[in-house]
Amino acid sequence: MKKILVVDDEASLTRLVKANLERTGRFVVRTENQGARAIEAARQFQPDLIFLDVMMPDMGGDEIAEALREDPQLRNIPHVFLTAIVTRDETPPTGSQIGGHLFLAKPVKTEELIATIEKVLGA
Amino acid sequence: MELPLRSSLVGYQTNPSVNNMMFALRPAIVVLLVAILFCGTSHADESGFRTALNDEEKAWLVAHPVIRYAPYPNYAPIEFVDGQGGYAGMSADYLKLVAGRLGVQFTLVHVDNYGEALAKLRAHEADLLPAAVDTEQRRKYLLFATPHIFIPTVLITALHDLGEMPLEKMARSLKVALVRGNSWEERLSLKYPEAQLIEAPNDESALQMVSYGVADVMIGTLVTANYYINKNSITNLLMVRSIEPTTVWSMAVRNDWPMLRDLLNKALANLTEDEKRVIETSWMQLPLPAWWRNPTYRLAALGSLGTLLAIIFATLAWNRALAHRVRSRTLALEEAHLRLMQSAKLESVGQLAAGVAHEVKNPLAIIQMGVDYLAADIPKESDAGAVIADMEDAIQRADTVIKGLLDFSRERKLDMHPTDLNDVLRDSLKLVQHELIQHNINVEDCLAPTLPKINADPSKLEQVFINLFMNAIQAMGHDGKLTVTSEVGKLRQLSDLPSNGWAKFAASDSMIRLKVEDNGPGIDPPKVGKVFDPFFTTKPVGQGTGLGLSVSRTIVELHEGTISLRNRDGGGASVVLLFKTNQETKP
Repeated sequence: MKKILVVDDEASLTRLVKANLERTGRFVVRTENQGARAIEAARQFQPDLIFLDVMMPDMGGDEIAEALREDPQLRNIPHVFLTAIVTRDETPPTGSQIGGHLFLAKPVKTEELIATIEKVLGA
Repeated sequence: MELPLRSSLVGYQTNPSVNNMMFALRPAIVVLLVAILFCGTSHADESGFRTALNDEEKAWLVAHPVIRYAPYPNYAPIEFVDGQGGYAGMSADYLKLVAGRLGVQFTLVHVDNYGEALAKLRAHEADLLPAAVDTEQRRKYLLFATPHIFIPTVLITALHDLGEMPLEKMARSLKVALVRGNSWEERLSLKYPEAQLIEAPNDESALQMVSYGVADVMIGTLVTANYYINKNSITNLLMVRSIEPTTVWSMAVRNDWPMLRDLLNKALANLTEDEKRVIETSWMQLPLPAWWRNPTYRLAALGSLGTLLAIIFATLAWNRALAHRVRSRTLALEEAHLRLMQSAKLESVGQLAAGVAHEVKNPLAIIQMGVDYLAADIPKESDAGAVIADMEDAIQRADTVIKGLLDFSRERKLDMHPTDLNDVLRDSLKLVQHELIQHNINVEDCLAPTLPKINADPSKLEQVFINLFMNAIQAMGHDGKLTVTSEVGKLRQLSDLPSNGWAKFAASDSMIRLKVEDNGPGIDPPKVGKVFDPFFTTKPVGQGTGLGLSVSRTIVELHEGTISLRNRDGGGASVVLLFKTNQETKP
């Protein structure tokens, strides 16, 4: 089972993402609603993939990604930005590369999340 | 001493017919003027004059109630016999005044020429010459009264090099035409016996002799020469200068009637200055040509007219140029104003869009996840499944609005490269193929065989074309016809231009025009001008964001093109896009 960390300040969103992914029986999902605690959560959880919201009040997804890259234990964990800024058409269902990062546009469907995970993890 | 003629007289030419008419009318004018003058003064003057005569004079007049006069018949305007056989001219007017003073009757004796007149006087077959030039020869048989007519003597020639040749040399080397009996004949032949004098019966003939080269020069009087030159339209003669003495005329009487000469002198001396002036101004003043025939006037009039026309044309041209400048400036200002408004609108929409996108997309994401969660346990065919499907659609629609907003407000960067717009149109048609088939829309392909490539971002233009095609499809519903046209040509060669949107181009610009036409219901006329406004839509609620054409226009304008929409005459809407072909294409 793949471990997925979902970081977003919207608790109801992270809760539903967790429910939808875990009910497939293929993923274990941990959620975090404070950006500043995302790194700590990653260290503890050691996820296979992290979904990062971009715009969060305390710490943005881009800052978290930067911190991940600087952490020797975490730098190899792939991350996908989940954002409300890019539009759906600019992000094919399997995520689009913008500046070397993968993006998914909100609102995203569960199947798109799964497809992206499969693509990134080769699962 | 010989004096040069006044240039105003030498250069002066009149129209002979007008001149003739003036001369013909002159007797009547003079009679009228003299009559007017006499009405007030003549009777008193005449009766006073006669009262002052002595008894001998009075007795002579009683004894000679009729006096015969023999005038030169063809010497206008000094004297001549007019068409009715009446005596006319300056001399005739003097004679009338004298007759009034003396209270005698003068009777005309007709002669053919001056020589005959002199002969009549010598033979006492006539008593008086009204105008005679005093010469030694004539004094032998004539008594001359005090001179009363003075006319400059002039040399008339066709030779341009006569210049200041002395009279003596002229008389000896040139053939001089003179009227038979003219006083100069006597004067020259006495002074220069070797002079080659050619006799002419009258002044008119003498002038013709000079004109035809029979004679080299003629001596005549200014007014007479002028009269006949004009009368015969002689153009090759010049009055080169005046010579002394001035020709002086007197009344001359038969040499056995000294009493008559004395009476004439008294009568002439009694004439008032006014009476003399009337006669002189009537006959000696050169007739002025009609003012409209005066070359100076014509030149001045033409010059003035030309200047006036030039000023009018210059004013019109200036006005036109100004109007053009005002129009183009107004257009530019309106365009700038519109752009400013558009820019302000875009800015506010952009700020709004960014906020809305974030604030709406997150809840949408939650709803999407919730729908996914619920859908997992609900069969699609069930009623709850249908509700889930409707919710999915609603999420999509809301997301489309957000997408449009973001497209509209996002900083636009184009990936420009040489592009064949026909290719973009064909690709766009392929992308809406499914919709076309679904709605049974027939596509009429009117694409130009070839188009020059222009610098463009094909993906952005594809977005524009898809938007236009989808609008057309939605407007037509089912069984419509979509016509897609492309053509290339100079702006001025393109007919059927939209009413606006092309003013920013020059007539000589080479253009590509694209047209997307449908046969749907068209746009409600009052709304045609608003279709490019953000959030304006004619589609049913929920089916359009009102941003498609706004975004399309922005994209087209980023390509330095224009887009306009109008209703077609036969129904439906027509969207016209114009792009310059001569834009600088970056590699």
